[in-house]
Amino acid sequence: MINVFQNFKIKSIFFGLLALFCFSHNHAATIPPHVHSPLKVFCDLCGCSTSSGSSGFGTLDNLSFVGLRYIYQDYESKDGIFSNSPTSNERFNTYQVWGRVPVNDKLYFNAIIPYQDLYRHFEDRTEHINGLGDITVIGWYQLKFFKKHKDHEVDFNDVEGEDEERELSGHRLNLGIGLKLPTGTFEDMLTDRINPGFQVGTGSLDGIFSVLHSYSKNRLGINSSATYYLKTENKNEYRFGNQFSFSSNVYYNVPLEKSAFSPFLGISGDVYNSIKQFNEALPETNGDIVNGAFGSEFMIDKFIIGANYTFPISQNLFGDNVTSKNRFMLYLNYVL
Amino acid sequence: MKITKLAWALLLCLCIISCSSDNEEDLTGQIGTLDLKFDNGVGDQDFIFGTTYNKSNGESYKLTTLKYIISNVRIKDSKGNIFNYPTADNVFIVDEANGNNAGEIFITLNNVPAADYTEITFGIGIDQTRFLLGADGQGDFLAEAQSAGMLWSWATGYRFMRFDGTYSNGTVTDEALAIHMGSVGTSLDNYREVTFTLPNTVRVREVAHPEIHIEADISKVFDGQTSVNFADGYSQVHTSSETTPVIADNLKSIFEVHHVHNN
Repeated sequence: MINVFQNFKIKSIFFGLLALFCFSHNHAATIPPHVHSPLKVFCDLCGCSTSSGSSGFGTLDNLSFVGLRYIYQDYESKDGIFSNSPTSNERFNTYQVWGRVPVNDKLYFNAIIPYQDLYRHFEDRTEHINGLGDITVIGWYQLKFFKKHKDHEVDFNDVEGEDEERELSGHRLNLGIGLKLPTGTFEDMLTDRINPGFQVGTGSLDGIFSVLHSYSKNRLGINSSATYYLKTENKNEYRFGNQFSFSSNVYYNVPLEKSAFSPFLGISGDVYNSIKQFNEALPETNGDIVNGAFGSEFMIDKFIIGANYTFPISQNLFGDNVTSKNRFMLYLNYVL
Repeated sequence: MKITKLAWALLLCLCIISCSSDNEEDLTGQIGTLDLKFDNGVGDQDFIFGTTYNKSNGESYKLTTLKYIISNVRIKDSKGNIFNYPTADNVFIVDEANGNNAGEIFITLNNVPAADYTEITFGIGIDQTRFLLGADGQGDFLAEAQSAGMLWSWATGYRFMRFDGTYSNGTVTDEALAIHMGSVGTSLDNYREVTFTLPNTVRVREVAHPEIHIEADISKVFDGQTSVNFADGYSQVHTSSETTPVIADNLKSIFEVHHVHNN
């Protein structure tokens, strides 16, 4: 846990910088800049936002890879304004081609290309939308840290790594900046619904700012991330709320004869600002969720098979009109 | 450093994209359609015919008929201009029995000038001006009201509401309940108006078809500004100058604009 708290310090610096950026941002001048405490959580659980940091950008071991990922999400939404109004069930299937490609030893890229297949079941009918989702591309810069003479001390300033004699500390910090492209179709008609996430894409070009921290010692590892999504208005003058996502996973590596098995436990969350349409905030479109997760990765030769189950611990989405049920994820990666 | 340059380039991109200029739209001569969606409920529950609802005083009621008259709808835009819907068409019966699956009843206003509307006012019942137009001046609405059971006789005038059903309390079970409040000719005026600031701007355009979702909490008819007892003469409300104004004031308070949709 000590590492987690050290990490929070870094996150606060990061969010301070983000806040500065928000201030200088012209369009945001009318909106009070929102800086969230890293301890709070965000909610971007929607079909168009499955590339969210709370779903993870990569594997436990931070390896380079190309692979396929399937994400299933289940929501219940109220179809009316009363407490006994009928409900609908949203089943979101997302198929992704994803990868992490190195440029050099400090720089690498992440790309996620999703295909969305979304269902909404009413009592008497079913709606179905599908198609290419929003592609995410993130460039990462990796900082490695070296051990000092004393144990348990980390020199965050020493990033040059000139002294090759020194030993790596096990801490890694990755700074990412990226874009979510409006490659998925946004349908204006669907905004007249309780769950605004029932969209293949947001129709907007969004900025992604992320910090990943990882630490591993012996067989135990911990990965944490904090990601801020700066969302812009789409051509329908609809703007999804800015979002903060965090996640933290603790894993344990069990080496087998020719393979390895890494079970993990995690916590993740999302916090969303209100959606704006025609530059006015829409009521009951903000929210937050904290999820617990457990799963495992299995590595054999150059293949990683991963599976995890995510369940809500606490949530307040869209004025409690939307309830996240659970999320299931399966991936197969080929290590580069 | 290369990475720094890349980062700044990305930031610059985002800035340029998000700083779109807002052109002043020319709406002259443009007309559109506006829907008012009425949604009757009891507290936080959707209203359902035949369901027993409890009052504050231990009495309960269930209804078989629920309708009321809405008239004189007018909307104000962001520049302060008021659009009055044409008088002849500006009277409607909101009947729960005509609701869709979700119990929502629509009033569609056609040929509304395109504008950004921020406020809505409507009347509950029939005002004296309309009543004094005489039977011939009522147009098609007279026949509509007659067939809907919303008219006593021409001289007495309209029933502004019809809540029919039964009530129960400690002493009686399933006694007849009839709340038929209205004005009485020109001697008693129970017409009321309400005004709401809209929670979001309603953008009427040729291509956009916005909707104002109005929630009506019918429990406030009995437990509103005044809580009334069925046992004390409020199980049969018709033309009494004592009970009808109380119900009229309570009915006025049942409405609330829940949200708007701009599509």
